[in-house]
Amino acid sequence: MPNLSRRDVIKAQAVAAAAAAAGLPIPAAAQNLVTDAQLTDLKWSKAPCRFCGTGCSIMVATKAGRVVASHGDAKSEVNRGLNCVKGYFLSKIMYGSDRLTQPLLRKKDGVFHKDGAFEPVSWDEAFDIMAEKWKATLKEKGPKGIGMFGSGQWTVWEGYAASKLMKAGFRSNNIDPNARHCMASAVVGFMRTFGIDEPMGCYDDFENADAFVLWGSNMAEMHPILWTRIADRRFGHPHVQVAVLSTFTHRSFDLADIPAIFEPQTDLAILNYIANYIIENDAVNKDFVAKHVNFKKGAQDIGYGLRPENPLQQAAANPDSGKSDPITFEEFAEFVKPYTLDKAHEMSGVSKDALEKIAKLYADPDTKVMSLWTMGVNQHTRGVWVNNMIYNLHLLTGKISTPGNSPFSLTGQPSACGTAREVGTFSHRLPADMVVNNPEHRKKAEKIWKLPEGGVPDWVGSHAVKQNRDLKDGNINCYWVQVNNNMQAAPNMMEEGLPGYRNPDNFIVVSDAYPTVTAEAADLILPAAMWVEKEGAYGNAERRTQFWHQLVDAPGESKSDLWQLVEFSKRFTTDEVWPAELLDANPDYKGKTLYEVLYANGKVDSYPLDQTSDDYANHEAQDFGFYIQKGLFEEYAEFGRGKAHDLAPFDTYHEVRGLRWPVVDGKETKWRFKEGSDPYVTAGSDFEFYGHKDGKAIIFALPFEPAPERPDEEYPFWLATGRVLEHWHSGSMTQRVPELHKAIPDALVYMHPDDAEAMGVRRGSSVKVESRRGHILSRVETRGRNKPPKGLIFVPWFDARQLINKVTLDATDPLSKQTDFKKCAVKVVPVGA
Amino acid sequence: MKDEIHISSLLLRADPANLDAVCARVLTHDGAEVAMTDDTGKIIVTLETDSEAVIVEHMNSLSLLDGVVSVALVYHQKEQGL
Repeated sequence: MPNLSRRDVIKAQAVAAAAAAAGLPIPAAAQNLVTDAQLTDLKWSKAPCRFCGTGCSIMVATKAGRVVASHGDAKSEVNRGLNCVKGYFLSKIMYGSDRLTQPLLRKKDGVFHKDGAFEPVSWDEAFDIMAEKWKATLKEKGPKGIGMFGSGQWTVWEGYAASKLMKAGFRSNNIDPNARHCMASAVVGFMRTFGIDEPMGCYDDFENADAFVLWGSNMAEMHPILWTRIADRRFGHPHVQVAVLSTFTHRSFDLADIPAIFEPQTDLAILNYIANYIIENDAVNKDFVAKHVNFKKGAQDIGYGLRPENPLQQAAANPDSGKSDPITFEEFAEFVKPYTLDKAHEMSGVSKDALEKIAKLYADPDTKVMSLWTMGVNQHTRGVWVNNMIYNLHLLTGKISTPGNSPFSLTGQPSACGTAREVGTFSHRLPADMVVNNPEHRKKAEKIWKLPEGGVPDWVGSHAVKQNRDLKDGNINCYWVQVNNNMQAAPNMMEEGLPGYRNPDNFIVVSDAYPTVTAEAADLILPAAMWVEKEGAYGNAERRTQFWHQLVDAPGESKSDLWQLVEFSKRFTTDEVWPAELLDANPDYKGKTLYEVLYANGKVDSYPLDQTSDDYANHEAQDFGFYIQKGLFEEYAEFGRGKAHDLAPFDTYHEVRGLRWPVVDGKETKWRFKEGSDPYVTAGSDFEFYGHKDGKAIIFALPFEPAPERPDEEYPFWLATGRVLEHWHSGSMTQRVPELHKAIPDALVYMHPDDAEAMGVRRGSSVKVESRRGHILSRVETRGRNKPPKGLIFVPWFDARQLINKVTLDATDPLSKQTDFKKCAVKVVPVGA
Repeated sequence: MKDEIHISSLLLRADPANLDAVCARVLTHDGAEVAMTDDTGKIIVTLETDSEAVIVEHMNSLSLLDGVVSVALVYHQKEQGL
C-alpha cells in the first residue's frame, strides 16, 4: 500500500471496527483496538460498565498503573463492541482532579465537632470516632437507632457484606439501597404477580419481537445500546412497530410508529383500556389463562406514602394496603369494562387512533410484543400497580416467557438487580427473594450465616424515604452512606434530607470517591476505591452476573467499600451489640468480634490467597489474608442454589462474559417459567409460574387513582425529573469527565415554547422553578432533545448546582415506598429581565 | 498540542427511507465522512477532529438530526503530526 497515508490506514481501521460492530461485511478482524497509538504495552481486561443497568462489557486498557483507554467489548452478547458516549469516557471517571484520597472529619480545636471544618484524619481515627458513636447509639437506642444507605452500585459482595454487617452483626434491618428510588416498584410488582423477582425474558427478545411498547421510558438516551438493538430490529424488519408512550416528547420518538403523549398518571387508565379491549375483542388466550393465571382485586385508595399526619395520607381509606381478594375472570372483565376507548382518550389526551393501535399490538395473537419500562413506571405513586397492569396484558394474551413475548422491566443501575435485589439489601429483604418477617426465611439465613436462632431481627427496617424522616426526627442517630449521592437524589431535600443530616444529634458517614453534595453534608467522609480499583461483580437487567478483576490501585488511602465494612466490624464484640439473652443461650458467641462471627467464620475465610489471580492485584484479599470476594460470593450463592436463583461457581465468572441465572448444570437460563427453556418448570406443565405455590401468575384488578399533587392555579405546571444521555444519575462521575461536562454543563428547564412565550421568557432566559417545598434557579430550553407539551416541564437532576430535589415531593408508592420523581406541581417565574 | 488529530468512527442508525437526506446532513459536520451505509439504515461515519470534545459535540448534533435514531462511538485513535 505505497500510496496509503497513515491517516488513511487509521481511518480504514476505524471503519473496519465499526463495520464489525454493525455486523456489516468487511474483510477485517479489527477487534484489537488501540485507542492511542503512542501508548504501547497496554494490558486489556474485561469489566462491565460502571453506569446503567444495561450491563455492557467494556475492554479496559491499563498502563503503568492507570486506566488509559476503553472500548466496547466485541465478545459481549449485550453490546457487541458498541459503547455509548458515557461508556466511551469510562476511563476518565477515576481521574477527576478533586478525587478524595484520605478520610476527612469535621473538627474544631482538634476534636470532632458537628459544625467544624473537614480535616484529614487517619483511618484509625476515623473508625475510632465511628465506633464510639455507633456504640453510644446502640447502647441508648438499640439497633433501630443506626442505619445504612447503600446502592445498586455496590458490587455483589459489598452489598452482601453490608447486609450481613447490619442484619446479622448489628441486628438492625435499617439498611436500604438507593435502588429503592429506582427499582422498588418493579420488585413489588414482580413479587405480587409472579412471587419471584426479575424479568422472565432477556435481551434476546429484542431480535424476536414484532412490536416494542415503551411505557414512559426514553431508551434512546437512558439505554442507548439496547435502543440500537431495537432500531436494528425495526429497520431490518419492516413489519416491526414501535410505540412510545410518555408524558413528553423525547429522542425515542424518532423511532416511534405510534407516538403517544399522555397526561401524567393516566397510564393507569390506558392499561385498563387495553385489558378491556383484549377482552371485548375476544383476544384472551383462554387456554393459557385457565391453566396459568389467577385473578385478584387489589385494595384501593391506599394513600401516597407521605408522613402519617399529612392530610392526603389521613384521607386514604386503606393506607399502604397491598391486600387483594380472589375474583373470577368475569369479575375482572366487569372491573375494566368502564375503561372504554372514549374514557381512556378523554383522560389521557392520547388520540383514539393511537390508543387502538397500541391495544391491537397486544391483542393480535400473531404479534410478539416486548413491553419496556423503567422510571416512568417505577417512580410513580401507583408504580406497583402499573407494573402489575402491564403484566395483566401479557398474561391475558399468554405473551410471556417465549422469545419476543416479553414484559421487560429495565434497570437504572449496574447492579440494582445483582446486588440490591438478589442479595436483598432492602430493609425488608434477605438474599434470594426472602424477607425478614418470615420466620422460615430468617431460619434459613441464620443457618447459612452460622448465627444462633433469633440472630436475624424480625422487624422491617426503615426504607430510603423513611430513613431521611427518621434522621430528621432523631430516631436514627448513626448513619452510613456508601456509593451514592442521596442528598442530591432523594426527594424534598430542604424539608427532609438536609435537616436530617445536619441534625446535631446525628453522626453521618459518607463513603465516596468524590466530594458530592451528600459527602459535603456529612460529618465524616471516607475515601472510596471505585470500579476497577477493586475486584467486583455486578448483575444486570437480564439476570446476567458479570465479574471483573482489580486492574489498578486506588489513589492515596482510598479503600473499597468492602474493606471499609469488614475492617469496621473488627471494632465490635458481640457482648457490645447483642442482647444478653441471645448470648446466654449461645455462650459460644460470647466475646467474639463481629469480624469473627461474620467474615472469619470458617466459611467466608476458607478460600486461601493462592486462589486469587496471579495476573491481578486484590487489595482486600491481601489485607484480610484470604480470598474474601470468593468466600462471600460462595456463601451468598448457597441461598439461591436449588431455589431457582442458581449462580455458577465463582471462578467461572472471571472467564465468561457473564451468565444469566439460574445457571443449572453450567447452563444459563434465557426464558424463565417456560418448559424447555427453564429447568425449574415441571415437565408437562408448558408454563409454570413457580414463584407462587400453585404455579400460577396473578392478574390484578386495579383502578385509576389520581396523583397526590396536581397542577392548580398557583402551581400550574407538572414537573418531571430525569436523566440525559451524557450524564449518569447525579453526575458525580460524568460531570468530572471534561468532554461530557462540556457537552452538557448545566441542567435546563425544558418547556413548551407557547408556555415560555406566555410568561415572557425565551430560550436561555433565567427562571425560578418553585414548588410548595423549595426552588431552584435555572434557564429555559424550548428546543433540543426534550419537547414537553404545554403545562409540563422537564428538569434533569444531574446538576449539583441546580438541585431539583429541593422542589420535588416525597410522596411514594405506598407498597414499594419508591418516590414519584415524575409528578409534582410547580410554578415557573421569570428572574431579572 | 496543536497538531493533535483524533480519528474516530461512529455507527449511526437512521430511518432507511431518509438515508440520503441523513447522509447529506452528516456531511455538513466538520471533518465528517460517510464511509459505509446499508439498506437497513446503518451508517458508518468517520470523524477527523482536533479534540475529543469535538467528537462529543458532533455525536450530540448527529443524534439530533431528523431521521437519526441512535449514535454509537466505536473506534477512536489519537495521533500527532499526521
